[in-house]
Order: sequence, then C-alpha cells, then structure tokens
Amino acid sequence: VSFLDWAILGATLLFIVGYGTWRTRGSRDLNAYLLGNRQAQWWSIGLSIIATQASAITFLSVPGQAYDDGMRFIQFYFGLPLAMVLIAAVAVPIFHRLQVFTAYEYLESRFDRPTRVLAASLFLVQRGLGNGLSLYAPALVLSAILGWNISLTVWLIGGLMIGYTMVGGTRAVAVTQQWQVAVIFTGMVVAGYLLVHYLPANVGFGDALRVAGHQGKLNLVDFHFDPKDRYNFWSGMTGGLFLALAYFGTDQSQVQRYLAGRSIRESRLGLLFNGLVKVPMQFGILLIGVLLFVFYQFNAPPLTFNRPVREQLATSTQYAPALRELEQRHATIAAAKQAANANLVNALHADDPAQLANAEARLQVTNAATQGLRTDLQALLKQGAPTAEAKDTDYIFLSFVLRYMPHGFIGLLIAMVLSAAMSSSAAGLNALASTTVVDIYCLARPKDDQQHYVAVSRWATVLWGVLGIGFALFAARLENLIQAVNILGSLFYGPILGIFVVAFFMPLIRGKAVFWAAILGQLAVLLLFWQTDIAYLWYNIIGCFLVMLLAAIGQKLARLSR
Amino acid sequence: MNKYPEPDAVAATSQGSTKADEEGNWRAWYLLVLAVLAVEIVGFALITNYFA
Repeated sequence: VSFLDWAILGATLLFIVGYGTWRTRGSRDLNAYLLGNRQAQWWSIGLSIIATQASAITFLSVPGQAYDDGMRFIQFYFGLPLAMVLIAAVAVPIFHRLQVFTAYEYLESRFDRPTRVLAASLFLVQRGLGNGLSLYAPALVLSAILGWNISLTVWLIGGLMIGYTMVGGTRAVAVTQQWQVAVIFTGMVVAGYLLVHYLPANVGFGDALRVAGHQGKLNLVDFHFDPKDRYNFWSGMTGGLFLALAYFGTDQSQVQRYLAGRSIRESRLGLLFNGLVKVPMQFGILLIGVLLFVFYQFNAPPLTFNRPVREQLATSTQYAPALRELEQRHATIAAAKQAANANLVNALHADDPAQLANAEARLQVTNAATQGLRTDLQALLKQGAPTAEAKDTDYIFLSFVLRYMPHGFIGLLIAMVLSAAMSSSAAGLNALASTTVVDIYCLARPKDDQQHYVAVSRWATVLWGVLGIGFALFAARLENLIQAVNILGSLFYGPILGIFVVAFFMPLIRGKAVFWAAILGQLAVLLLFWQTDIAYLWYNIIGCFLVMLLAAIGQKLARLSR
Repeated sequence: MNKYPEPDAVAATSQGSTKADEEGNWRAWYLLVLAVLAVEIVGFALITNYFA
C-alpha cells in the first residue's frame, strides 16, 4: 500500500464522515434525530436501503463464494423483489398512517405493550450481536491481508461510525450512505474492468465466461427441488422471500430507512427501487468472483489466500517442510491448469470438438489434483494451525486487489470495503438506539422533554457502538462470515415476522395469544437449531408459521375458556 | 390518554387501509418489479444452459 493509496483512502473516508457530520448536526427533537423530520425522497430511501444491506461482508465473502461455488448464491435474492412489493403494499401505509418511530411501536397499537417490548427486545439481541459481527468481519480480513492490528481496525471503523451517527442521527446515516454507495459502485466497476483487462491478450470477456461455464461457475439457476440444498430456485423463492420479508419489514435498521420517507409514495418507491436494483447488483458482485476465478486459471494463485496462516506454518520447524512440499505440488498443478485452460480457449476459438474434449479431460485431471491438494492442506492446517480458519474464500478479493491492482485503485477498493462496513453498521446502530429509546426508555420515562430524549438517543448510540466493538474484539472465528450473520438473523427473524404477519393478516388475534406464541415459537426455533441440522434459511419460515399457528390456537383456547 | 387508537380500530385499519390508496396506480409498479424479476430469472436460466 503506497502513499497514494493511503491518501485516497484517508481523503475518501474523511470527506464522507466529515460531510455527513457537518450537514446533519444539531437535531433538537426525536422526529428530527431518528427520522430526519420525515423528509427523505425515494432515491435517498432506496440508496439507504441498499447501503444498509450491503455490508463489508458482502464484498469480501460474496466474490469468494462465487470463486469457490459459482454464481448459484444469486438465487438467495429471488424472493427479495416480491418481498419489496408485499411490504410496499401492506406495511408502508400502516406504518405511515400511525406515524410510528419504530416498527415495534405499531405492535402496541395493534396488540399490547408486552408484545411490543418482546419484539423490540428480540431485535435488540439479534441486531446487537449482528452489528458486532459486521465490524469484526472486515477487521479480520483487513488485518490478515494488510497486516493491520485487528483491534485498531475495529476501533477505527467503529469509532468513525459512532461519531457521525451520534452527531447527526438518521440523516447522517442517510447522507453518508449516498456517498458510500457512490464509492461502492465505483469500486465494483473498476474491479470488474481491471479483472477483464488483466486476462491474457487472447482471452476476452466472452471467453472468460465460457471458461467459467465449462468449470461449472455459471450455475445461476437450478430448478431441481432439494431441501438439503441451500441455494436453488425454490429455497430462494420461499426461504429467501421470508428472510427478505423479515429483514425489510420488521428489522428496524431497514424499517427506519423508509419510515423517514416524506410520504407513502416516497417510501414505496424507495423499496421498489431496491427490488429492481438488488438482483443485478448481486449478479455484478458474483460476476467479479467468477472473473477472479478465471483470472486465477491463467495466473497461479497462492496455496492459501489466508496469509497469516501460511506464515504460521512457514515459521514452524515441524510443519514448514510439509508446507514446502505442498507448495511445490501446487505450483506444478497450477502450471498444468494454465496450460489446460490455454488449450480450452484455443479449442473454443477453433470450434474443434476433439480439441475441446481433450482440453476438458486435462482440466478434469488438474481439478482432481487440486482437490487432493486441498484435502492435504486441510489436514496440515488441522495439525499445524488448528485454530485457523480452513476456508480462505473471504480473503480472495482483497488479496487480488493488493497484489495486482495499480496504486491508487488499492486505496479506492479498501475505501469501498470500509464504506460498506460503516454504511450497514451505522444504520444498525441508529436502529438500536431508536428502539432502545422509543420502545424501552420512553415507556419507562414518558414525561421527559424532547431534548432529553435526543440526548439519551445519542448516549444509546455510543453505548451500542461500544458494545458492538467489544463483541467484535471477542468474537470467535467462524467458518464463513456471511453465513454466520445470516444464521443469527434467521433464528430470530422467523418469530418476529410471525408477530407482524399475525398483526397484519389475522385481525381476530389479540395481544396475549401472540405474545405467548412468539415466546414458544422462539424457544422451539432455538431447540430445533440445537437438535437438528435443518438449513438455516428454513428457520424464517418455520418460526413465522409456528407463531401464526400457536397464536391461532391460543386465541381459540382463550375464547373457549370464556 | 393512550397515544394509540384501540387495537380493534387498528386491526380494522390494517385490513382496509390499502384499499383507499390509489392501488390501481401502484399495481402497475408492482407488476413492473415482478416482471423484471421474471425476465432476470429467465435470462439467468438461459445463461446457465448456454454455458453449461
């Protein structure tokens, strides 16, 4: 990382944070601090929703996922546009007419106070932990690749984010998110362009896609139904739909973005904008991962992208010889793979079936050799670095950026990852503070003045920020970062979504029935997670339906006992 | 006095609220979003088959 990279990184972050703080200082009441006086326009809401969901994990894990597993992860987002339509049609008008600050506030008007506090508490636990993970994930990868101190990285991202969110509240989050999205999209386009540019002279973009396709990486849609398979069309349209409904319809970090809308129209358009943009955006991020895969078909990748783990083995007298042997094998296989891919491209250009079959056969041999090498590497890691993460896919994108990108662009792409980290965590922090104050504190002290509530909101922002930093610093290493956040979300989202579905669509059910249904439903979900190996996406559906069913039974029993 | 309306009133509102809100215009927007999704899925399926 050169001086130019540091200058671009520093200037980008300082401009965004400084501008956001300066533009939005001095809110005097809760409506201004938590909802920006409800003045947001549709494009600002849309960008905010996109930036809140696009965390640093998105840009670190998703390209790695495509590199390893192909593009089938896109199916996870197929339910999202449908969820946007449902939320825009059903939830937005209700939230707007009641002029609520949080989604949970609506539950008191529909049911009762205990249900509101229960839903708010479930959100606080889930989002409090999730926000810590969103800080930890980029810090872990940046520290491993750039050699930064992990604690300092967590404090840097967390400190900047706490600063502007505390000063400017929701408007600061929205104003900074607009610039953060600009940095994110610029970074993506630059990365995609340079990846194609770095391919060998005779390999164009179309050839890159064909090379990826021949190795099963363009597996965008799979219509076969398999409940054990995490990503196929059916799990995306059902599990993905329920996850999106829960996340965008009941998670305050998203609900707060469209509650800040000037009118029902602006909020709806903001959500629909997200519904139109999200799938192509994820396609773009996954395509970067596929292009990375193709790039490393013609250039030798390292044995593992997780540099500190390699260093750990290389400096061990016991394991260094085994590592050297694996690296020699790896170099031989990589050279054979490059030759096989060059043959494949020539065969595709010549349109010669015999040459194509020959190239494919050679590729199959090298892929089998790579698989054997990976197994041996994992066995070595288990012995030599047992606490290290065996999967290195989260490190692939930034490793490429640092090794191959020109100076200046490296600074821009690190700024992209940090911007994404701050944009999603700041929205989470803002929502945690809002829920703490509106759904917990104001209920306990209803008679204080607005300035007092704004001051408490600022302190709540700092408190949740410091708690998130604390959680990030102590977080254990997890197999795959994006999955850890999604699993955590799915365990709590189902029951919360169930409460809201009952509120919207089951008018005969009252507070007591739904309150106990939510508690029992949540316990059942945790028990199932502990005792079974159901894929995590299904917990959104299971939790939601359990709450609906138990609430209906509870209401019936209450009526019979009367 | 309670800031919120009675639960019965809210339950009723949540059922009838969308009807009064120029749903006709919005239906076109909703269809557009779903049509774009359908086109994307068909496009992805074609890409999957073509490059397989």
